[in-house]
Amino acid sequence: MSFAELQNYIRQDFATLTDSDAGVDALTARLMVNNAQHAFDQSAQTLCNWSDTSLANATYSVTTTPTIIFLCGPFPARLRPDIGFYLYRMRAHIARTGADPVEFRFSVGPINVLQNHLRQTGTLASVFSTSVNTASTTTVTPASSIRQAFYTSVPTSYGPITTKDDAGNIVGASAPLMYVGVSARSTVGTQTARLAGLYVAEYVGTP
Amino acid sequence: MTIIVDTKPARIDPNNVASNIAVRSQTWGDTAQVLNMARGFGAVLIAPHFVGEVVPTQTSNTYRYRATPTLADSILVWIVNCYSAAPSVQFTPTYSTAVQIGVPGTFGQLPVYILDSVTAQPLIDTQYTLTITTGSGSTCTVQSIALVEMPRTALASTEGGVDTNTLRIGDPVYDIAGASYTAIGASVGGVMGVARRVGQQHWFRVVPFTSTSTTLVDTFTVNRPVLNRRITSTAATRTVTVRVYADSLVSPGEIEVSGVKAASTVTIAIPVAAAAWSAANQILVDTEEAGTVNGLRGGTFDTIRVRCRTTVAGGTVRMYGVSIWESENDG
Repeated sequence: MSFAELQNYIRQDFATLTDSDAGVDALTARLMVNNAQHAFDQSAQTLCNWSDTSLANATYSVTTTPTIIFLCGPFPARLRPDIGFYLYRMRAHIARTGADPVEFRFSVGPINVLQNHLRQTGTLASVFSTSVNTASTTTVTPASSIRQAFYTSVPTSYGPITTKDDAGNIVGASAPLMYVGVSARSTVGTQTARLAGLYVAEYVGTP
Repeated sequence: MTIIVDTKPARIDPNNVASNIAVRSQTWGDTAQVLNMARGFGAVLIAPHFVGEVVPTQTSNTYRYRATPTLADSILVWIVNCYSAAPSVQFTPTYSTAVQIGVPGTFGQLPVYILDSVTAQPLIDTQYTLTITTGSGSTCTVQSIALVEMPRTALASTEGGVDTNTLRIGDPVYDIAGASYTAIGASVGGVMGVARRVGQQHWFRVVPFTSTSTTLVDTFTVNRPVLNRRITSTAATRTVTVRVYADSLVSPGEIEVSGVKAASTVTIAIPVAAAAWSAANQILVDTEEAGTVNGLRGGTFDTIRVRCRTTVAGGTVRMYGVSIWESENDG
């Protein structure tokens, strides 16, 4: 859950720290370090969140070739102190409206890796895939190891961003960027895939 | 003063801070680096939500959201999934002037990005708007909308970071403003108070959800997941801030927002008046649980349920949007 020693925030009276001429005891210093680490652990972000089975325009005609039906990002990604990504917790609401099953694939990753993986078939470590064969919406979520399902390497994830420096000047920089993507394909002929909800959130995970 | 915002956090060994040994400059430097990143890395102010709405030809649709920013001076990026037969569509963000941008012709393509530069915005509950305007030729189908603060490369001295330029291995920790452990303590407080007010869930449609029923009717057919960050060891629930954009016709209406698992509910009165944001309300929702692989408390998601009703038969309540984000200073 946490890279902080105590795994949670410990209240401190910051008013006692205003005299920088005074020494600081080891306990106070250690709690400050713990609190800084916990504050960062808890800076995870929600990357997608909607669910409504009555939504219009949430259906997509797909063939047996995987088709990307939703692609969103980039989101500046949080890295853990061990230089892995935060985990990604997800949940989706999916359905098909034809007679045969539709396979959905969900992934979080750098744009080039993500698009490539979403367009492939078969088992891929960085993709969570599942089939649905009901017209009513089914709720799906990866079983246990979310890290394994979505883990991608850090070096490939850095991309350019436009941002500001300390003087307010607009500058270019580089940051780890993540996209969220969903693809779908039919198992027979042309079917209609329905994505009625998607929740993806970062989570620091167990070190 | 140099307050660098890095893109990867330092790993700090707490055993380096113990009785009878001096705290190393590197430990303070690494702590400052972690805090500066937490403070300056930006936030997802509006998590993408599915709009599922078609902007008719020669029409302007304005989408409204509320969020609390974490950076006063930043580049905001609107991320819009949309497609149109027209080669371009006009977007007007909150602070900058309108821009005409080429859009994809089909779904499943890269989103459209609208950069919005803001200076000196107060770090308080703020309305963000995006207007999408079509020309005479074609409609525009809006799939999803999101708003993200870009990470800063460095923070100004007034923005609550710690000066990393004075923290060097082998040097004593400088006893000057913005550099000593006083600054680190202040920055911890700043990060906990400001930088974790992230967006949880947002929804807005120009064509509203309407209800003429005097009993509560679900706005969304499936409740939306929600989990707050865990701050203290005992906080099984924390608050989110809720505001709705709605109006009523003929007679007043009500919108009820609930944290389902935490069993916390607020009822918001919607007067007969022009559509407007409600006052800020708060409800409790689950926090993440330590030691579980996905952070779910008790192995299940908490969810937000939104329901509407009119108070008198013959009335209509119309809900255009809801914005929900983590509350601050309740850890």
